[in-house]
Amino acid sequence: MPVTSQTRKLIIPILIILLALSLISANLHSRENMSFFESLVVGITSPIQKVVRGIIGGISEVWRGYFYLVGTHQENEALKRELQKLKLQVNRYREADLANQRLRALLNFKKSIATPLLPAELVAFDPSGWFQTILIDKGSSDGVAQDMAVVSAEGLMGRVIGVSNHHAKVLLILDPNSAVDALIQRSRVRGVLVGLGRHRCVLKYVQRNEDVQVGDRVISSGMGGVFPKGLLLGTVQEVVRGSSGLFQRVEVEPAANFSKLEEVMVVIQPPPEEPRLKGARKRQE
Amino acid sequence: MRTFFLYFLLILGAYLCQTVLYPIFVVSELRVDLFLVLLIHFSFSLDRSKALVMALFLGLLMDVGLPLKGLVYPLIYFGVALLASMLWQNLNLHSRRYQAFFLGLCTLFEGVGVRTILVLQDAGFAETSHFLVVLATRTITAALVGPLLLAGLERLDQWLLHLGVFRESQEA
Repeated sequence: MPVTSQTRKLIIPILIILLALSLISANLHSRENMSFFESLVVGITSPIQKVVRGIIGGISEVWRGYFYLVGTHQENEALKRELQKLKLQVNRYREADLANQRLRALLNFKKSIATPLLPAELVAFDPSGWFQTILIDKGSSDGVAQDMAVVSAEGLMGRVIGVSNHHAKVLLILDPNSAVDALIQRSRVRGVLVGLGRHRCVLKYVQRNEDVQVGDRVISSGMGGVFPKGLLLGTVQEVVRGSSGLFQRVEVEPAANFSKLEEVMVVIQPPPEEPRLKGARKRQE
Repeated sequence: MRTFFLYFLLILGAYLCQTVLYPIFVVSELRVDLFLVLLIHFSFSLDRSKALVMALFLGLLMDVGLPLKGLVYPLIYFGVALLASMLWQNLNLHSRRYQAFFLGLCTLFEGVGVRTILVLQDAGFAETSHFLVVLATRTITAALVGPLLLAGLERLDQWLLHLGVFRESQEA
């Protein structure tokens, strides 16, 4: 029986809908590793994206190098004074560090081994604008794996949520899907740092009577095994204690400067599941 | 082949804008989804089946950088392309005013779609007030800027047709 054009018009959309639904359901449960299509797209587009980013970087360097030099002398003088103060402070901290080491030795603490860091470059941002994710140029072939922490010189940036051979997808702490178990460094009050989708985060589940002040530093607690303990997350910007409710609202400004992201570092450490699994196996044995 | 190459260049350009240039220069609230504009242009100028295939491709491309489970954007773009190609035949979407309305509506649909999927997946999402502000601003920006971009794409089509580059697609 010959297929009429009307039947064909009906069959094609139905086939396409079926294809769309099968694609959607096929990938619904797990996106730990990037799919073949994703790896292909990233592989093709990332060199071009790098070039474009390089050109933009060059233009901004010219801007910063020439047009932004107004008032540099005064700034230089101020920075020199600041440096003197900081040198004194560093000396004090060095003394404190030595004292700390002595005390640790006394208490038979194991000296922690520094976690290796892998430098990576930013390739692209989230294309939709609804999320806070980035793509970096290091992947599983460089030792990057799911759930590894990503940091910058200023503080914690996020964690790896998808890996291909040469690239990794990172969920920034600004994204509402991100949650980091955190501590107020001064008072050791605990909470969960969640992104607000803009350049702010909120420290959730902090009880009303807990001691939190504007300017307090927020660090990662190390609970959950994803983020190492003690990484700087940000500083408290606003504390609101409402007339009712169990918790206070603590807004935090992230320490990392997300608007000037260029280089990041991946904290190379074994996946958090391993020790727990080993422990479970031991218990079973 | 030439048409395919041109479409590839257009999509690549839009992708670079969305992933590299946009986040640096454009405030998140004022972003116009270039893929959406391209998709609507394809829905107006191509057969429905081709437009739907394009929708899937653009959706998959958009999904690459997102932290969502499942292929969210292909579904959203598929719906938009289907709606656009159906309405193109029944409504006067040649009019820029209608196009503005339609682009605004699609942006609204996209934002609500993403939010709904986040809720269904029990994922975290931005505060409702912030989300509504972003959605409203984006809808207005898309309604204002979108028709200009569509007009630009139409002009590009005409220019390429005039140069004889688009002969294949016209015959199709």
